[in-house]
Amino acid sequence: MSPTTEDILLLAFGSFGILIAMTFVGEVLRAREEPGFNNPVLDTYMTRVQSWWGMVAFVGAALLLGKPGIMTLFAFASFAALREFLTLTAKAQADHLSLALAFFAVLPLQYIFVGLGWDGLYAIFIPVYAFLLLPIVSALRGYSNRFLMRVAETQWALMIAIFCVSHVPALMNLDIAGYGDRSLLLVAFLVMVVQLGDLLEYFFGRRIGKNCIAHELSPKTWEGVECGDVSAMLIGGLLSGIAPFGVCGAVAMAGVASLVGMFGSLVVSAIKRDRGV
Amino acid sequence: MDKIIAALDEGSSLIIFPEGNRNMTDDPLLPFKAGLYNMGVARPEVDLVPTWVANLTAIMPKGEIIPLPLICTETFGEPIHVKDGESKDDFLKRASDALVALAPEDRT
Repeated sequence: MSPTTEDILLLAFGSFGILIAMTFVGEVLRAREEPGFNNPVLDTYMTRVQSWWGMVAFVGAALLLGKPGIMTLFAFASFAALREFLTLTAKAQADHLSLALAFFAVLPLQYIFVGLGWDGLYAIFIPVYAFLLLPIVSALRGYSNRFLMRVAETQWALMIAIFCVSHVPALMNLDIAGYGDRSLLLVAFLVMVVQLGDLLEYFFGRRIGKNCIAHELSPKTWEGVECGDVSAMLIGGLLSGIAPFGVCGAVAMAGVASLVGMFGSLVVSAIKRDRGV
Repeated sequence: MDKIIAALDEGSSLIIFPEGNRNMTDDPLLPFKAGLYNMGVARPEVDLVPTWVANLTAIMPKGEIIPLPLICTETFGEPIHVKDGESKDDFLKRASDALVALAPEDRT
């Protein structure tokens, strides 16, 4: 067994251990509730724990399958995200072909470019080529009603759901001196610090959160975000063995990734509130 | 209509598109065809369940070849029946209203 595989298995079993503990705590709390009474916080918690089980299982299996596994997993994640996003955006029949191209041409091509490691192309394919070419396809149908809104919202969907998501597996293309084939573990590092930071942000926000960041958008509080981010930094430090940054670098990277993730989730909340979901 | 009644008598469940065509207008529904009423009169005990299928027009508008894999939500309403002595127009209006009431509001 290679050291990379060993690390992946270690991380997977560690995560399963944490999840078993979390599921246990949730079930105990649920059993102690009065019958017929549903605690919304506990329900949210259990739903989240369930989705983490899925996430750990899928990411763990994909990591063990190596680069093709991770590529496939994230391509499916992109597809699901794009589908959800484009269901909510402004569109008209005139956009039908450009939306079909987004799903069936832009998405697979982006992942093929990432898979081939053509970083010069996958870094600009969506922000430049799709950005300029898809509106042409829509404009050829000659329907101007809400045109800018339609193409802008479609481009937003492509940037978030395909471009950004595909840059997670693109971490595997980084050639880091002395890190060798272990760049797979960067994906695990990123996913773990961001997810655990998010979990602890939620926990601390519930416990000691007072000042809402933007109460119209989400219940996130400054206290929750600060504590969650500090926790993410500690976890990053603990996981520094699988990352190529050294301990201080791993702490800083985890802090930045987790913080940007929390504020990014605020942005997505704003979009969801706007569309009433 | 004979085939529809025969299928109902066999106990089959049928999916009826009472608009009879693809809606290309801005109205939520086209006027319903008489078939739904005739069916409801012939077999009044059969439950007619209004079912709103959201997003169909965006997924596959008339004239397009490739369906978009967007999210499609179905909303089911309370079953309706033709009442004694109810006229065709009254029933079709009531059926249409029951269906429109299920439509999610347009948010874009």
